[in-house]
Amino acid sequence: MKTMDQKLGWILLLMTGGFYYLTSQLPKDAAFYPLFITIILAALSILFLIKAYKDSNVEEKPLFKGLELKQLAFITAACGGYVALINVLGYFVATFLYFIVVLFGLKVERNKLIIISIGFCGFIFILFKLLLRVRLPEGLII
Amino acid sequence: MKKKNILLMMLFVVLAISFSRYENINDYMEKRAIAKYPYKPIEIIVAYKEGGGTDVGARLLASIAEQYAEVPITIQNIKGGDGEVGFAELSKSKPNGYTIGFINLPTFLSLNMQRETEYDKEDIVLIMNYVYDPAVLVIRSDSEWVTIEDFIQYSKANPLSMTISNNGKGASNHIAAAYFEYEAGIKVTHVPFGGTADMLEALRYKHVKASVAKISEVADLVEAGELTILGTFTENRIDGFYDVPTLQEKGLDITFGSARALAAPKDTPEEIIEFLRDLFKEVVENEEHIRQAKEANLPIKYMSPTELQRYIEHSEEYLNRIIPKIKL
Amino acid sequence: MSDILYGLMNALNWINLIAALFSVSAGILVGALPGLSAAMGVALLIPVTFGMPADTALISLAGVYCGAVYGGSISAILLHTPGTSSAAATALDGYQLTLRGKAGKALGTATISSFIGGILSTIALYLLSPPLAKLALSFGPAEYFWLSIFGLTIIAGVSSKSILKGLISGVVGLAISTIGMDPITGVPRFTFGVRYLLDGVPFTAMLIGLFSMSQVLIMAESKMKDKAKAKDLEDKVMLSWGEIKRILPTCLRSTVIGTVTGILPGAGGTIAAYMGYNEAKRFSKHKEEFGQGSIEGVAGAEAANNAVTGGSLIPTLTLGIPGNSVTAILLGGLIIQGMRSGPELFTSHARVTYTFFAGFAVVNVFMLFVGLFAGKYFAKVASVKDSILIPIVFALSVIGSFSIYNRMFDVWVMFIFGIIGYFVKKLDLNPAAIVLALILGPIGESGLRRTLILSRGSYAPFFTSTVSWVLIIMSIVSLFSPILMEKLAEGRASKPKAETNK
Repeated sequence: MKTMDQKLGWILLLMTGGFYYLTSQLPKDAAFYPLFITIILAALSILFLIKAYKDSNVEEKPLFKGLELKQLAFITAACGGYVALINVLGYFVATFLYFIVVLFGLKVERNKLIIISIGFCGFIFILFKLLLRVRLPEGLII
Repeated sequence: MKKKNILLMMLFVVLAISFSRYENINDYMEKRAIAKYPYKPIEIIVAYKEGGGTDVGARLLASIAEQYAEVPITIQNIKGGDGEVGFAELSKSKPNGYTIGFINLPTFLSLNMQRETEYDKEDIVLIMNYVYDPAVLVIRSDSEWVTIEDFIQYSKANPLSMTISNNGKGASNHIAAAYFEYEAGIKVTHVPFGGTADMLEALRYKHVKASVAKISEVADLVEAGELTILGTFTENRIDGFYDVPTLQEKGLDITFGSARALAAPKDTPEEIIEFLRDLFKEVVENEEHIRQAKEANLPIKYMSPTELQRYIEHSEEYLNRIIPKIKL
Repeated sequence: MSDILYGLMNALNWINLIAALFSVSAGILVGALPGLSAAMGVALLIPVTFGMPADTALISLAGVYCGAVYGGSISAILLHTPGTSSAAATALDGYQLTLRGKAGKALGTATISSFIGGILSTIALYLLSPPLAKLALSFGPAEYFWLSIFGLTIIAGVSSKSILKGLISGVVGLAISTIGMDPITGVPRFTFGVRYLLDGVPFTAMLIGLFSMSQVLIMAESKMKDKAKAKDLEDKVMLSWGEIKRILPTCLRSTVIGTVTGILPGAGGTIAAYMGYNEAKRFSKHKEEFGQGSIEGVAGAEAANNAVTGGSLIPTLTLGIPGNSVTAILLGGLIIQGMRSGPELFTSHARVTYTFFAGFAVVNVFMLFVGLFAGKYFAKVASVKDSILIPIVFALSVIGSFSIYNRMFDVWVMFIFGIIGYFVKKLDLNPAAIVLALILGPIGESGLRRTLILSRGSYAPFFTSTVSWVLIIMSIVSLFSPILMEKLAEGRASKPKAETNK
């Protein structure tokens, strides 16, 4: 079973390869420095891989113990969807919906959920729009 | 229970919507109300950093213009790519008259000649020219050269040993310096820096020997005695610096300078453009503005849209002529 | 002299006082909440400072910085969870004190020590910055190259856990820094035609993603459980004169440690706190108390980590080299206000700079009072559930990244780096190393290439000036110092054993 570090080492090596490929398309002067970085990265990745294989017997701290994958995926998706919707619905509507969705998904009780959602939007409205006059994203509809 | 929840949600969505920018709904409905222009803040895009020459001018212009427009006028600094990011942003903005911006010449034109840019010069419509900042050749006052003849003589005797800083490869100061190099028949080393501030710092702290900059950027330093101008890239001697010779006087037929002009995205309604043209002309002629511009060392040079158009065509032809020669 | 006085007066005007008070309180809050870091607090505050005059903006940022570094101790003491990483050492003895019913005493110690560390490091600011800024004049391209090398070697040296991982993080940072226009030839590198990348990856957006949003994801991966609630304090917060006298030497020692550590790029509050703690133990007449609840332990840690704040501002302001992620963000805030690091801060911008310095002192004073009188209330807030923090922090991150250039592109950048940051933290890589490399890389590259242009290909200028040689030697030292430190630590570890064996 490959440990996390070993996987990381291979990923790094892959990234180095990709970086090298992109660098090779640059004119000589501009490529000098990225090339230098590529070499160091490659050397470090190889060293790292060697170390990871040597230490593969060492007990590894369980990285993903207790990982609530569904919850994490849900939050990531909610955040991504929120950002995507901001330009459609406008900042306030999107933020409001986002709060409701996330707080509901994290099982916050209804009253708290409502107070926090409205409270936060209100706070942002006052602070950023009225007091500081900072621009907030506009949407198609609003 | 469920029905109550749904009603509650609807109530909150309505509340949320009313929290949002109700002006946008207005905007939608008043799309045709050009007569009401302007009723909300106008934004001016500056394609360079805060505190730089263009930015300072823009902020002064905006502060006076606000009084005439009766709406707030804000500055949005969008920098990157020697100005390309800002120019592109201007060309792609909504043509409703609430976003306008500064274009810097000749950079606006020269960028397009050196690489593929995300904007085209046809993408904008001109409002007016605001500032014309001529280029000057500067050295430290404690340098070993006193006149431009000394400078050229030294450069001829020591090819490549004269180091001239600029604000970026291919940027306007570099073009000016390269053209000077060509006409004077010398070979210098151009050292690019990230911007005017860095370029001048390099000169002042003795890392390079000379620089080509715009008069407004060095006027303070020259008056303070720290820097000396060897020659100006103009047809006539510059106001306030009458003892400095022009390059033409010294037999070098070169003129060069940066113009900063106000423009709007191409499909902005005609009426709004006319309104803006009239408004800004008044602003430039405003006494308070003239006074503050003088204090800030801004070389104001108003050009009407037609004059500006002619200037642009002339610059283009000029650039097409010299850029291949100087092999940037 | 008059600029300094002007600065003092200006820092005491209404607006700046209010800004100082609010920002310190906000900072303490952010610091007290486990899961929110000082870097995050400062990053999220930047858009708020847009409309402010330069001095108020800087004072606010400093307020959040100092407040957060101190605030971390509150939850470290009461909940055994450091609110910020620099409070990790405080948790050692702080929590022990809580267990023995002396939570108030611990809080008081932390507050007073943090104040002493912060205020005294301000003196360093006043004294050391102008000469160092003058020194910046002699920094040409070659010297900047060596400075960046020095900064990078320190990153390697003080990385957590694995030096290899620290180095890798640093190199990854270097790689990311190449995105954008090449500083010398202007050729776009790795931009894939996206014009927004011509100036490089948007810095603050990336930072917000790396530090704020990644934390959101880390909170999101564990079960949402109720946090330990802070018990009501049984004792008084204020210390007696005798106790203050007892911790004073420790505080002074830690202040020096913290200030010097802050000045060095790469080293930060966490390391300073541990060193302060260790040194406090070494010099203490009551060594046996350490680990069981020693106020000297708390004092040693807290004075050091707050002294870092003042120290870290020095290279940031004078050389443009930020010492840690917070000052990196602060540097961004400085630039947004139209100020550049370097000698100009003490010439053309002297008034703003000295107002800032005075404001920094004011901020620390407010921190003292807020901490002494309201510390326990902040503790109550520290128990806010993650489920509420998650959407709040993310929504603030969105505003933060959007409002810099008013475009959604930066928000997406923030999002991507949030995910990257999550993996960086999970895999034990070093996010601070990435950020520092991100800043030092371009400085190094431009320095290298400009020197070569000026010398027309000769490498000689790299080895001519005194400054260059000093930096070269310091780089070599810092490269080998981790090994040296290990040997020294082994040496000390064997000593007490030898003693007890007797």
